[in-house]
Amino acid sequence: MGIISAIGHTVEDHRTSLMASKSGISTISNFKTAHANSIKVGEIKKTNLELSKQLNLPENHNYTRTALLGCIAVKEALAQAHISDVSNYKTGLISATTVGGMDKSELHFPDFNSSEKAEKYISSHHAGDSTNKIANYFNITEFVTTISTACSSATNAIMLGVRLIRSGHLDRVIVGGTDPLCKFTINGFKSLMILSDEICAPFDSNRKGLNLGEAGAFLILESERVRQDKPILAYVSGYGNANDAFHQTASSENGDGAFLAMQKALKLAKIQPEHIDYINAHGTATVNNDASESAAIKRLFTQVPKFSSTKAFTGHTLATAGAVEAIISILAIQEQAVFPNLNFKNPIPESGLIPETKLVSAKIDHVLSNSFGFGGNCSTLILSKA
Amino acid sequence: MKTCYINSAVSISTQDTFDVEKLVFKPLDYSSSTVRVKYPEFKKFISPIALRRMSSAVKMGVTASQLAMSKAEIEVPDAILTGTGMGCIDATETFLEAIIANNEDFLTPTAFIQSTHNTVGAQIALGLKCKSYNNTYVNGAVSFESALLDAKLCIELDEDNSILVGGIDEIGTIFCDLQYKNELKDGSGIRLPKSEGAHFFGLSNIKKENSICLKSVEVLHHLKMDSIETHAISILKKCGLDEVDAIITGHKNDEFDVYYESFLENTFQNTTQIRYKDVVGDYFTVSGFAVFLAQYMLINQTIPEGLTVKQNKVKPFKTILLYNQEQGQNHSFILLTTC
Repeated sequence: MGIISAIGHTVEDHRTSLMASKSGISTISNFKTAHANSIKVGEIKKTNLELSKQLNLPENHNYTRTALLGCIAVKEALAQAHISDVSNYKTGLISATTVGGMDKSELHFPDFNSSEKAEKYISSHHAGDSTNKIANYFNITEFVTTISTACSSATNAIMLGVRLIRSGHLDRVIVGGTDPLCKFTINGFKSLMILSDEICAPFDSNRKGLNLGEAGAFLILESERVRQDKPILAYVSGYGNANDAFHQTASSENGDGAFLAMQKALKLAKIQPEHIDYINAHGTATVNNDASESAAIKRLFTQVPKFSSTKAFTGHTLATAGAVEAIISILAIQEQAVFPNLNFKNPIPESGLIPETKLVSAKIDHVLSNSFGFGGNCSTLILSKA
Repeated sequence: MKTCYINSAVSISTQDTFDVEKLVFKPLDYSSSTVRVKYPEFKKFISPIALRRMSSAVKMGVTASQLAMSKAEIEVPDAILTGTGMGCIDATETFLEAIIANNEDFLTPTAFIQSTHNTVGAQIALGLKCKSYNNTYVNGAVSFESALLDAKLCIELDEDNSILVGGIDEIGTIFCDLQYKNELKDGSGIRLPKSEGAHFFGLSNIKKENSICLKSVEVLHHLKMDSIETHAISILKKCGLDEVDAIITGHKNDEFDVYYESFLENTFQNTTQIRYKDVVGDYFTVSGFAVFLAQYMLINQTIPEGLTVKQNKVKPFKTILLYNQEQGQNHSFILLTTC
């Protein structure tokens, strides 16, 4: 696993922050936006220049922040899996992004026609560019693709990775996502009026909206043949993808899509709802998501297991959220602990659901992780103890 | 393992390809940087109220998908998988311009909502009230192939029975034009205009009257020029074939056409070779058109008029291999056969 987000630049940083209940939400400082004082964000306090240096890139490169964050996370993941040469097995890369090259496009848009400095970012605009750059940086030559289903993207990347291994297409696949903060998404979510000016409070009755975040997060999936005697961090034992088919941006009241995605994942994992020890919820802290997700959870689980949303730590990292939370779920399995849902005070009256608000020890064999996005996209992953 | 059949193929392109019996291509206008598609009569498929709210990518996608489903006799698919290179670029440009023009103030969310890459797949699902698997691939020139490969895996692994697969790209007004000018300046000599289109296919594990077989889809990030031919031969071997009756390539008059030349100069030099981008223009998911063309050839046993063809032997088309790449990366092979 490899990850860089507002709560740290490595997996170990994340473990430390999560165990210490330390949020990474702050005021934006890497770039200027008119909304700087009216929103809180999960920002990585490293400039593009610092990230470029960390990757030893030449000065005239045209890596977007999306590609930079992705490379940093993949680099750590490869090191952790002791992979020095990706070519010894058929290795693929599936990345997820919503921003693509927008962080540079929005900066250079007015002078694309007139400035050479701007021009090099025309070809980096499309979403696949960041993934192609990550592949080139690590000499990945086999299957490489990008998924963009809004905030469920990285979960879908993990799903496809499993499918490619199950079918024998690949021996090993690097799966995850990368999304930086940018004005485009800040203004988009602002215009939808779902950004909070405080640290978000998922599942709280007075929740005010979400904090956008940024992250690069990748996991390495390997077939049994490739793994040999390396330690297994966890199994992807189930996955499910369903569409709410209700509204382009809003979730249905009864959470049909979420319910179906969780149900599919349990079926594939061949386990019952009562076997889930912890739910890492999507829990964005918007009025709509948390109500809908609560309804879906209550429909599926007669006895709702321990659950929390970790969005108040990292912010909502959009396309990357599914990979960020898959890593957090694996850390929960390793620590045999449920990470807290920060800032919760009162339950939503309609659901009455109360998340874990303090770090608690628990026997954790199976974690269910949800990621839902625009377009009714609902995806669920089940990660299990090795 | 179940066989993956393609039971329908629908094309919206710069040519008369939508729901026509016979394909005849006319030369493309090379004088401008961008060429728009020939829009079908959208109102036959979409209500006037819905049409007003839709971007051109959504209109094309919804229309092409409906015809693809009806031709493949799919009522509600088990999965909707789409690919798009530039995404909903029109709405993206609109929202970006508004942010800059209004200095991040007075913004309405409509364009932002529509700019999301998975809008087309989501709108198709919404229209059908289809709650099944839905995914969108956005990796440049292999966006459509990624969706096609995922669909094939789902059918073979028995996860789904009938799948709608599509590739969509709209042209917008700014980025594609910038790309064209940028590539010209690069000296890479790309002379094909940028264009747009939508291609949808009904896939199933059940064979129908007009089925063809999807034997292989391979996506490779990098491939050395001298190993393309070997790779193609290995794909044929894996499918139990010694030769192929036609090859459709993604030539586009740029310096990277050498990849195609190198591929075709030995074993396949006497195989029928067909190009298509010179009649429909260039965009990331234009390879969907190649699958549409191959399906037409396998069903009708003829090459449509107006294409650049090198034909050495006239024989029935039983197997067609598609090869495409973009600037020396994002290589893809698709093998289709009669069945």
